[in-house]
Amino acid sequence: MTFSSAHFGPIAVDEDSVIEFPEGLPGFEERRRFLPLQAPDQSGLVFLQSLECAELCFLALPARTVRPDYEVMLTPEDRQILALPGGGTPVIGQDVAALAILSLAEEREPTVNLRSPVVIHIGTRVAVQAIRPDESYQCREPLMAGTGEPACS
Amino acid sequence: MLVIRRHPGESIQIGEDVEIRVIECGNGRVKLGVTAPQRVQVMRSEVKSTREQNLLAARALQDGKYLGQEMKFRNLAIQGSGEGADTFSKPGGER
Repeated sequence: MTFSSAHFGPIAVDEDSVIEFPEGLPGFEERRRFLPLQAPDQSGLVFLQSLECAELCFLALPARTVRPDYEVMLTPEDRQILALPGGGTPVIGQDVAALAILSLAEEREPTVNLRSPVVIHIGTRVAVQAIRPDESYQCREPLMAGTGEPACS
Repeated sequence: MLVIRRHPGESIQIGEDVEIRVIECGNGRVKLGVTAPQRVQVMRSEVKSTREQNLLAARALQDGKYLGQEMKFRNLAIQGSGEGADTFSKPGGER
């Protein structure tokens, strides 16, 4: 299957790469299927291209690229969506991937949303934007220097 | 900020048609019930801020500078800076 992205042009869709948000994302509740992509010259960045809306593509960074000690914290509801058993913290890179959505606006410093990371079950690729029940991180965390993120330069 | 003390089962009224009832409390948490007309959006504050942030973030890629780039699928199991081979074997970016 091929999808025509407003940002990249036609892209071949590998069904085994598609991630599925059963509840969409806040503000985009009807957008369920996204394809994670990377550009060859910016391998740290993750482009989350909607497969239902050609114009919709989020930019994200692995949460641990931004904060190497980042751990996810899930509510029982989010655990249920991801079909993760209760108890311990899911391990980033093993059980789940955690992406922080990047905000770039001309008049502002780039920020990442570490309060509500996109948490993806690596085995099933089911995903949820998991709003942390605690307040250790904000929706607008500054990108620290030295993360390799080009928007910083 | 207006501060009102309420017991479980009691409620407050906001305007003509919004009612917030305390259903139960304890364990450091409060369970609230909200009755409001359809046109009034009710959501947890952190969902509202996440929603606003998402709407802003969705505009990050407006300049078209990636148009026609050879995009690859990203292997999500790889964390960290993204150095090295971290793509799925199938190539993307059909043109």
